[in-house]
Amino acid sequence: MNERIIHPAVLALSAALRSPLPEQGPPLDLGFAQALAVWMLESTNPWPDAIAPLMAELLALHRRDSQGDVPTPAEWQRVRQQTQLLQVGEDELLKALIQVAEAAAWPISAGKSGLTELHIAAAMVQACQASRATGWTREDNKQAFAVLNQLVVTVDGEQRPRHEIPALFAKTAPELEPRFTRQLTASNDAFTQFSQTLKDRLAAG
Amino acid sequence: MSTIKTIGDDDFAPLEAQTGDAPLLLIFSATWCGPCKALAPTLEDIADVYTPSVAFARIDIEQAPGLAERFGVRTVPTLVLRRGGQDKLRHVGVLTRTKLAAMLDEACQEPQA
Repeated sequence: MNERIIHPAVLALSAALRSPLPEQGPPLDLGFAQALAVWMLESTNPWPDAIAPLMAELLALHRRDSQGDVPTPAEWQRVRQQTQLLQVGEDELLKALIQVAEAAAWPISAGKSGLTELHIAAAMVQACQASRATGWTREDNKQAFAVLNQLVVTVDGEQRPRHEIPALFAKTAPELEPRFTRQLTASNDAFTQFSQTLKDRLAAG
Repeated sequence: MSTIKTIGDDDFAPLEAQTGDAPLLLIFSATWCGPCKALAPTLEDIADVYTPSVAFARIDIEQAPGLAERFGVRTVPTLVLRRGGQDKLRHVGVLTRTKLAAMLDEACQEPQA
């Protein structure tokens, strides 16, 4: 019986997702891995103006790669350099997209980490987008963390037990806490859902 | 085959002596640490490209508590980049291959005193 073909990047992703692949099934080769990378990149759209040109370029490189029009090492090197010129700032969505760009700045054939890095970064983008969709803003986030940072330490300077923090947060910021919890749940659900979709794609082959 | 050595408390001094002027990346991790597992493929890819210009050593903080204490590691994964017997850079948490490559490129280009 022939051994199933599984590209190392797919194998690493299945391990990271804790989704073991059966010994038999359709090949999960480089072509499958490249198509998965294209799908993950597409899933992060729409992109803010600050990063849209680079993301479009990265997507175009991966599409070419998956169609056999292999980009040159110099093309990959150039996009890698571009990712390092992006300004991070405080925008969580932009931060997550920069991670996606960094993860996508290598051909999938170059090693085993491409899909694993893309998964984490793209799932973070889904999480940020879901958080924003609840109406949660950057300013809300700033306020929430200002409160939470005060609560993690007691008046004696001791680390407060973690289980005490949610109730204290609700008491200290009664208007903010329910909205914080709602966006956090939406954010976690989006991350989990994205990971589950990837597991399903791996299982379907 | 992985080019990342796993070292214990007693292995560090000989390894650093052997590394000489080349950068040495210490990777502090733990078997129960999810982010460490997520970072593993990135580190292996980077080690494949940068060995032998850079030496890589993985340290399980439970197997080598002395090294974890010596380097003040309180969270895993923690990466410590050393050169010439000194800490040059420290990173806590996961990071991308692109970011790690940029860090190592800078360390490799930096002239030694």
